[in-house]
Order: sequence, then C-alpha cells, then structure tokens
Amino acid sequence: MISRLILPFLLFFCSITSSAQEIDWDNYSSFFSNGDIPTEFRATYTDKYDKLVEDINSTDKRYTRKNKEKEFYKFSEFYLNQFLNSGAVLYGDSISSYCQDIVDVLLKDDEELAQVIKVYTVKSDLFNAFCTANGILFVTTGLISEIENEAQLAFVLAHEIIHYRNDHVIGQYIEQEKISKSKDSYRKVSVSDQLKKFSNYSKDQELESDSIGFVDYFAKTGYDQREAYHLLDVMKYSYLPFEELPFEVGFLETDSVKIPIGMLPTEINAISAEDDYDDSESTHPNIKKRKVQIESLVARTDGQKFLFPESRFNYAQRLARYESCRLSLINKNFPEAIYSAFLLKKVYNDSIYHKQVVAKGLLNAAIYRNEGKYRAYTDIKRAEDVEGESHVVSYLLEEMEPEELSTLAAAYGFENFLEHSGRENEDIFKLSMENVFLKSDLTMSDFRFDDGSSSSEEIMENSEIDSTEVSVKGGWKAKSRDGKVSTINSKKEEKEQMGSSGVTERLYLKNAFWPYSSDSTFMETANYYQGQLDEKGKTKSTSDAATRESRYSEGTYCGVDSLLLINSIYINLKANSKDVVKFEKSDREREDYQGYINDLAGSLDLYVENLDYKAFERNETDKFNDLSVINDWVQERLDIVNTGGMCTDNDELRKIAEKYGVNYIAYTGNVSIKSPAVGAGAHLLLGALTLVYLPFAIAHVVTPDHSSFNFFFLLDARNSRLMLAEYNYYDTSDRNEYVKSIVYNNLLQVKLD
Amino acid sequence: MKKALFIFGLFIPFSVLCQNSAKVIPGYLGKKWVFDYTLNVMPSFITENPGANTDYNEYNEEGRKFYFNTQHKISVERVVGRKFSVVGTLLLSKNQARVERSSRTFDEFLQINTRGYIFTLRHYRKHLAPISKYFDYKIGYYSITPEDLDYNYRDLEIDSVYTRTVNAGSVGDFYMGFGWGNSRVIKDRVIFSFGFEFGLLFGGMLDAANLGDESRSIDTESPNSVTSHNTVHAIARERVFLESLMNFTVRIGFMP
Repeated sequence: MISRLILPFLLFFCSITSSAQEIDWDNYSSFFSNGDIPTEFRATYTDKYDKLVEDINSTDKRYTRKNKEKEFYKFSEFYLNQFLNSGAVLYGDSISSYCQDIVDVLLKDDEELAQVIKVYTVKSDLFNAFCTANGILFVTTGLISEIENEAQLAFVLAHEIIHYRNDHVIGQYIEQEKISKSKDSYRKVSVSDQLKKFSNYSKDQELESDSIGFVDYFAKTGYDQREAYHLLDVMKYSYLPFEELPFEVGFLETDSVKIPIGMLPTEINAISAEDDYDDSESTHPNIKKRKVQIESLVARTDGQKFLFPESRFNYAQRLARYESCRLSLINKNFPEAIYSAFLLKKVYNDSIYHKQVVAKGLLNAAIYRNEGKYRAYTDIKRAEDVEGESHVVSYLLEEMEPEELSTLAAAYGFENFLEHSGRENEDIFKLSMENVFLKSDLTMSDFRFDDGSSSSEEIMENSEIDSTEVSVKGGWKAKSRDGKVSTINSKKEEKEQMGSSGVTERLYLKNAFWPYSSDSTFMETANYYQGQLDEKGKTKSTSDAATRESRYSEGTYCGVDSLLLINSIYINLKANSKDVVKFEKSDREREDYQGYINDLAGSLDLYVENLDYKAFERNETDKFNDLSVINDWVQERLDIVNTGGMCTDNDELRKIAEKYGVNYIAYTGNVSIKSPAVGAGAHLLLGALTLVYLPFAIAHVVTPDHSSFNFFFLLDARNSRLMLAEYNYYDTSDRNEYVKSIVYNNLLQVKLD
Repeated sequence: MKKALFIFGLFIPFSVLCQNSAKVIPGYLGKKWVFDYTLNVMPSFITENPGANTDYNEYNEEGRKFYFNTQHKISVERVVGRKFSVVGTLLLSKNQARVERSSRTFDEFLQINTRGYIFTLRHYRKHLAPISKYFDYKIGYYSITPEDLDYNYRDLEIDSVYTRTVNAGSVGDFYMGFGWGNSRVIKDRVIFSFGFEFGLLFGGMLDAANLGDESRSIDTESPNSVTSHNTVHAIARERVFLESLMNFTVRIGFMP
C-alpha cells in the first residue's frame, strides 16, 4: 500500500537526484556536494549558538535543564562547526540525497520530525552513523560501502533518529557530568564502577534506539524486517574490507616482476569476530544482545530489501567503495588501499582507477619502508593482526625487502603510465624511480638492460613464475559468492590446519626493468636518477629532513605575488577553566585574523584570494568543493613533508589552482593559551627576601602567563612542493599587535625573493 | 666629545651593516625606526635634588622631604634583526650634591648637569622586535658637568667677605648597564613601554667607595686647586653614579 502511494513520487525524485554528479570511474577523484550550501555550513558558530540559546530560552523546561543544554551546545556547536567545515562532510550528494529520501519514508507519519532531520555524508572509512542533538544525521561512506541493501540502511537511520528524538545525546552529556561530579547514583562509587554504570546507561540507550526505531519507524515501512537482524552481522565484520575475496597475487605483478609462491603466507589469519563478546566496558551492547532483541521484534518476513530502485543503492555503494579506497590511501593504510583496489576490479570490472591506486599504494609503501617508517607514521597494522583475505597484501608488503618493493613499485608505476599516460601517472612513475635509485640500496648495475646480446626469452626465463590465482594450502580459492558475510561464515565452518609461514623465496629483481630497455622515457628517467645518485649519493630521511628544516627556517623567501588562502584556524584556550576552549572568542578572532591577513597583504602588494567557508554565498557550492579538495591535499602534503610520496589527486588540485589563477596555496592558523602564572610562590618568596624585587613578584603573580603558536605554510600547487613552513612559539598573548606582527612577517617572507 | 662620538658612533655601523639585509627584517609591520622619550625615575634616598628643601635641618631631620631622581632620555631605535634592535640614546639629567668646606657646610648645593651617550643592544625575548618583553645591554659615556660653585669667604686678616668660585669643569665617566622592559603598540604607531634598569658608572663607583666625610671638603683657601677640583668631580660622579644605579623606566615612542 505504502509502496503504491509513494513509489511514483520517489521515482520522480530518483530521476532528479541520481543525475546530480556524473562520476568518471576511470579517473575517480572523489565526489562532491551539490546544490545550495545549507545554512549550518555557512553560519558562524556565534550566530548558531545565539539562535540555540534563544530557542532553549523559549521552551518551558526547568531552569537547570535549560542551563545544562546551553552548556552542552556551547561546546558541541563549536566542534560541530569545525567538523562541518573540515571538508569531510558533504551535502546534496548522491548518498546524502538517497539517505534523506529513506528518512522521508521512515518519517512519513511525522512531518515535524521529518523537517528537522537532515542527512549529510561523511567521507570516512569507518562504519558509522551518528545524529547530533539538533537533528543533523551523519552517515559515513564506510557504512554505505559495507551494508548489503537499502533495508539495512533504513534501520540504521531509524536507530539514529531515535537518538535525536529521545534526547540521548544531551542525556549522555548530563550523565557524564554526574560522573565527573560524583552525583546521584555515582556518589560514593569507585571510578571503575562509575564507568560500568555509564556503560550500562549508554547500552540501554542503544537498545532503546534499536527497539523504538524498529517499532515506531522501520516496521511501518515496507522493508524486510529481517534485514535489521542481518545488519548486525554486517556490523560484526565491518572492520574488514567491503568484500572478502581471495587475493590474486597476479594483480600486483608486472610483465617482468613476478611474486614467487614462496613469498606468500601459507595461512591466512582467521576472522575472529564473534557475536557474544564482553561488552561490560563498552558503550554499545554486543551483537548477540542486539540480535536477541531484534529477533523478538521481527513480526513479518514479506518486506522488501529495496523501496527505491536498486540501481540507486548500487550507485551510492559503488561511490562509497571507491571513496573508501581513496581514503585508505590518504590515511596511509596502503595494504588496505591495494586490497580495496583489487576488490574494485573484481566487483566492478574497474580497469583504470584501481591501477593508479595500486601504483600509489606500492610507491608509498616502498617510500615508507625505505625510510624505516612503515608503521611509525602510518595507519598500517601488523600483518599478523590483519584478518581475512587482505592479510595476503599486508603480509607481502611487510615481508618484501625495501628493494623488492621499490622495484615492484617502479615497474608497476611505469606500466601504469604506459597504459594510461597523464601527468599524475607520470609523477607516480618518476617518484618511484627516484625512490629506487636515491632512497633504496639499488643502482643501475643491479638491473639488466637490453644490450642486444641475449634473446628476450633467455633473459626472461628466470623471471617467469606461475602467476595465476594463488593456490595456498587449504583451498582459499573463491567460492561462489553470496556476499561477504556468507563467505566469511562458510569459511569459519572450515577448519583449516596450516603449516608454518615464512618467506622461502625472494623476488628476482635483475630483469625487473628489462622489458623497458627500449623505452626512451624509461631509460632517460633511470639515467637521470642514476646521475643524481652519482652526484649526491643516497638521500635518506635524516639528511633530507635536515635539509628541509634548514630550508624552511627563518629567512626563507619565496618571491610570490599571489596566493590562495584557505580557511584559517584560530583557537583561544584558557587553562584551568571549565571551558578550556574560549569558543566565542575563537570564532570572533578568527574573522579578525582573516582581516589582518587581507589588510597586510594589501600593504605588501600581495594578492590574496580567500577560500573561507564562512564567506561563501549560498550558491557557491563549487568553491565549497574546491576547498574540500584543497584541504585534503594540504593535509596530505604537510603529513608527508619529511618522507615524500603522493596519495591525493594532484591533477585535481592543479585544475583548481588554475581556476583561481594562482600557483600557490597558503594555510595558516594561530593558537593561544592563557594559564595561571608559573612559580608564583617562588617569585613571592624572592620578593619578600629582596624587597626591591617585590613589586615585580606581585606583578608576575597577578599577570597570567601567555603562549601563542602560529603557523604558516605555503605550497606550490604545480609541483606539490612545500615552499615555506613558518611555525613559531611566542610567549605572548594574542593581542592584535602581536598577531599582526607575526602575520606581516609571514607575508613578507612570501613576497620577498 | 671624542668618547661620546665613539660610543654613539657604534650605532651607525650596526645600522649600516644591517641595512643590506634591512628588507628581510619585518620590524613592526615594516616599521623599523622608533623615536622615543624615556623617563628614568627612582625615589631619592638622599635628599639632594634640584629644588630640594634647603630648610632641611640635618641635626633634627626637620623639613625632610621625599624626592625622586629623574633622568630624561631621547632615543632612536633601529630594528636590525627579527629579535634585535640597536638604540642610540642621549641622556640628560640635573642633580645636586652637598659639598663641605673644611670648616663648615655650605648652604648651597653643587648643581650637576649630566649628558650621557649610550649605545644599547636590545634583545626582544618573547616576540619579533620592537614589541613585547626585551632585555637591554648598554654601554655609554657620561659627561658630568658640575656648575660653578660660589661661596662666601671671610678673610679674617683683612676682615672682609668676598665671593670665591670653584669652577671644576666637566669630567667624564664610562657607563655600563642592563635593563628590561615590556613594549606595547597602540594604534600601530605609538609604542609604550615600562621597565627597569641598572647601571654602573665606573669612576663614580670608585668615588663613592673613597669619599668619606672629610674628603667631601674642598680647600676654601684654594678653590681651584687640583685637590678642590678633584673633590668636586668625585662628588659629582658619585652623585650621578647613585642616580644611575637603579631606575624605573617609562618610555613613549613613535614609529613613523
């Protein structure tokens, strides 16, 4: 009945929203927001908070409750504001629109609530959804990439709606306050018992959201109610990649670099997730408890998995999975990025994008291995801790010697460049060659090149290894796939007895570059870096870092006339205060800071183009999206400044820089903290003993200590180079003359040559 | 004079040397010159100031008033590095000291005019020059000029009174000192700071050690003898030494 009524309407909606952005899957570079920028993205924190206070005051709640809510919103709105403008949150995109339509179906009988709930997408590979106290519901791409159908998504959304409707967020805040002040039931109770009580409180809320969400909303739609139960299995395995397919090692090989069987793990780590784990200290009940509750609520089994066209779900999921792959690279989880790329190829027959991901993944893994920072500076788990099929990739990247990995990365990078030329792929290839010759212990003499004296068959004889699908002991070949969960569950039934692991063969590197001997681009690049090696020797990270630091130290001058300034940060802190972050002051002073930059740049004849979320007009979504791309790129460049590498899409960045007519991008911010004077007692004692010092001692005691930290980075969009990194600590407050002085100093170094 | 030029002249080469790299020094929003006036002030523990109460009775301490020593300085500061500046200062002060004759105390006080030439290297510890807290390292040269001292001399032999004058002339002294302060900027042009400074006049320090009651006397018979002149110089330098030992400073300046 419901379907008949709403289906035509929804189909109409579908035709509009699904064409919001056409994705070039071959050259995937993320997806973006669409439509007008919602008010919550553009309004300042101060305006939003003032409005909330007004709304709270107009209610008839108790005075203490009102105060608690104001306190809560004071800090939560600030952090929400930061989150909305982080570049990770999207509005009007395919996923947000799709989820919003599902929410409209769930809330078809509650129009008032339907007006409040707004759904936005978060670019994150975590499996998560959450709702704020003012009705903003966030869904991560990680969640979308894992779930199996629309009904499961609908249950997730129903659950989150109840968190908002029943004031769970503020409830938790109030409960935490009680703990910190040992009030009510937390009085005279030990800390561990307090935490257990809070944990139980939180778990009760989760079960409440499950049950009420199911009964009040989910069950009243046409969705298959059993999917709420199946969702819990999806959640159980959500820490694994979005599919569980046997890894084909040929996926990583090139014409000349083959991975021998002896390099592969003889066993794959079993998947350990269970339903009934100890949740005594967790904020969420374990899967078993939730399943029991849901099972008791399922009354009908005749629903549908999709109320909207399944193509819509598939499109959103594909988008989310491509994004997860990209995010794995950015988060420096290279084994996961490579395995995800493998899944994209198998599931979506991707032919181009996955290769670039693999090229970048291998390159960056090789760089970090050469630098000895493979785990220290990344998100990479130890292979022994990685469960499931992706364990093979983690194992390989960990067990390969840095030279092997570097060579493989270079060979793969070159083949990718040959197949799909373009600036990005060319950069990947060149960077991988630089890594081989300048960062690893390899030279040209370690490789054989075509000198015409031997036949290619003779040369390649030693290189050829059977690179068909890996047949690891115990039969890990792909079974017919019903879905990730069923694959995992059936594997769990098999009891595999494996032998010991350990690498018994190594990559044969000698002929790695043989097939490219006749390619002038390859040989020119190789000779170039060999020349660099002969001239400068190896450039390992310690000397490189020292060079970089001295280049960025005071006195660096850039000779730049115009730049693009992305939204700056300004935080004002007060130690020993209930609200450590002075939210309103920070918000206000950020605007002043931006103003100083523009005024002082003008005085130096330096053109500054501003990209600031708070300054966007409603219809400037293109700028919003540009800023998101730049934020990602800048964060990555700063993250890898001491190691090198590349993960984000530099082509996309270059296009944006061209659009604004600048070659340089600046990112700056200021943090200042006020704290009570240190050593007051000692000063007073000295003053009492030497009366002359007494006035100074008193002045010291009554005057708080101030510290400020200011940073300014300037990056070249054309070659991703960090040109200026000015960061300074000052033992002063953030009075405007101090801040202006620092800003002027930074801009002067940008302008002068 | 030569010594004054030498000291003050230190300011010039520093500034010139730094001129080559002047463009790379930010200063305060590009402003690297500061012209200021500083007032040094300190409570006087010896009531021997210009305008001091001459009715003061030493024996019963009636009429004692409390005074401040003051020194006036005009300075030119030039920012020469991110956290350093050099300052050339002209110091002017007026003071007085008691001088005794062999037989009785003078009614008048010896008026002392001081002109100082000081070179300061200022290190801004907390921030970019020329704002925030700073520490000064100073060297200088003082030219101390006691004014002519007239006194009435009774010649018992001829039973007449006539005026004699001690005109000792100027004496110089080397100065070294340090200080600290905190500068603020108002309306991006005006600098206001306050601080503290310590200074040593080497000659004055020795004079203060040597001078006893007896040695504060001049030879009234020979007012312009070397002894008398030396005594006057010693008293003047001692006075200026005490005045320069420790001072609160208040400064107001302008950045063009």
